[in-house]
Amino acid sequence: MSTAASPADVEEFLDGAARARRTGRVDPVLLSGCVIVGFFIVCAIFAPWIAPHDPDFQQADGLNGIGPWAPFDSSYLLGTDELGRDYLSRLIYGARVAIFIAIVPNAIAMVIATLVGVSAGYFRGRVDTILMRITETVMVLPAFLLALALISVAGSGLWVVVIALVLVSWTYAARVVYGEVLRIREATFIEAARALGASSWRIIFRHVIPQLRGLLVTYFTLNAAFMVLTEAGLGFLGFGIQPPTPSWGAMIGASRDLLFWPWLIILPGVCLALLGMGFYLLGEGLQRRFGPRVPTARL
Amino acid sequence: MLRVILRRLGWVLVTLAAVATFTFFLTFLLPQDVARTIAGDKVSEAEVERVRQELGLNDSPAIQYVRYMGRVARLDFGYSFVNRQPVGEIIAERLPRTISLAAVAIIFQLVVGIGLGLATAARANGVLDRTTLSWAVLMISLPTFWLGLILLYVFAFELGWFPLGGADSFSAIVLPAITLGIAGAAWYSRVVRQAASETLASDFVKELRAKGLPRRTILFKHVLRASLSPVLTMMAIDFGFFLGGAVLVETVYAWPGLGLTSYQAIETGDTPLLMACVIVGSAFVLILNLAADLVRTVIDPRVRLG
Repeated sequence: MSTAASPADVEEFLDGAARARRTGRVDPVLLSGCVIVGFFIVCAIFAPWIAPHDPDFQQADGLNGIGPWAPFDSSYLLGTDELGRDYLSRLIYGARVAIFIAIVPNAIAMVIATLVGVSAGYFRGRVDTILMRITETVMVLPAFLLALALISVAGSGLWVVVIALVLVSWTYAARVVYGEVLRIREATFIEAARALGASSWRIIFRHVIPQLRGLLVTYFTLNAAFMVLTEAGLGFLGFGIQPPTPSWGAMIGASRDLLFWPWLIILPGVCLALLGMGFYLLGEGLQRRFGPRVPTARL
Repeated sequence: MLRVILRRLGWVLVTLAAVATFTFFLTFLLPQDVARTIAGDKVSEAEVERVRQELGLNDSPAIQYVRYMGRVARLDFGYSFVNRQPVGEIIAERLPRTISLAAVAIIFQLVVGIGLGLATAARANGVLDRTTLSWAVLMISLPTFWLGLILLYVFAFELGWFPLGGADSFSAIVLPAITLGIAGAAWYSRVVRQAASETLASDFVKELRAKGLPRRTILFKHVLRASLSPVLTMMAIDFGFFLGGAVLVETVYAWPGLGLTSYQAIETGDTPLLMACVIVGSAFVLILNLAADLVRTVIDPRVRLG
């Protein structure tokens, strides 16, 4: 589902961005987005060095008499899970899955969206009708349910999950790219290139796609939040990246009946919400600074 | 106009046929012996073979496909693998639950979204106004299922105000509806705020004020009406979305609607039930999207139905 942000937001943002440029100060939205996302990327890359314990190792003293350790109660800073594994380490390793999901299926979806959007928008005519009809139709289908069905049939291997995530997200991006290409193709420099005798392919690759860069970067960032949250939803139902690989959504799913130990549910959710928010803020900040408004998808 | 609507309805049918085809191929990929599943584990191979004959599973895929599409066209989804009940009956039993949940969630979304939107537009740059954007971002960043679990923990488990799940009492619908609607409420409030502040600055509002109408009347009668159109189309789309795919929220709250049913169908390998859920859910989304487009053309004459 896509929800366009209102023009008031645009003004507000443009104002903020203009002020930031004038005063030479950094836009707080962009900065906070960078800090949050950067933090999780560092966690993901350096997980083996940052994490105090092996995330999959069931510690000998990982459980007290009645269950896992609560946060700040033992030598395990954020407590342990129901199997006595260090929770902080699992959360840090969970960042790896989240960042992977934010980048890989997202990038594939962007490539597909660019191919579809540019072909439809540049060539128009029949290609346009067929491609955009398909895009709009796939867009309104209950994507999450179809992704679940696909994973249940094909098994929840890493790449099946990636494909499912690509399937649920490429359409929104394709439509955004399409709209932008419709605008670009009317520009004078495209006409000039055509007058000089450049081929369609040359125009597309040398003139149209470079113009899309800002839009794609912004959309990539916003869509990253959508990807992470969707994978978390799949993981929660047991259809995401499979255990023992720690994934925040799956960690919440594993603890959903353990309401006696609420931190097992709260902590991974806080990580998810923070990362999701970080991506949104980063995307908003990029828009304020560089570019066109992009409608965002939400769960 | 009528011809356009008919053409769009035709397209809905074509799309549904494509979805049905997709689900058909999914079952072919399934590493499951359907006849064995139906006959049970204790039966002899000869008996399983008989079931296979009966269901026509030995026919070529093409014939099976045609037969399957024929049945779907007659809304005959066959029998559940798990409890042998006709799938149509199960769907008919669960569907009202999903509709009531979606309806309450939409109402929540509208009331909160429009209320907040008007309040922030009326007091532009107030504290509420300056914080709603942060709220909106926070609300759409929260994973819905997680928010559901937290609400369940606080209000059902710790405080005991609501049941821990299911749909046995009237109050059971409150938490799932809030969980489902809260992100939408945040979005609507932004959209309404924008539309309302534009209307507030317009000449006709100035005139109403000059006429001496109380602020409240202007806000609730005139500004509200002018700000509704973007929300109405969003609402139709959201409603279809809730009907087609509230899998996560229904699962968290064990709310026995279509979403939970499809999740259970996946868990138990109940293919006919899952296929029916997917097709029915898609049908809802497609039809309500068409409805949204119609609403848009009625409200805004500039929009043409394509």
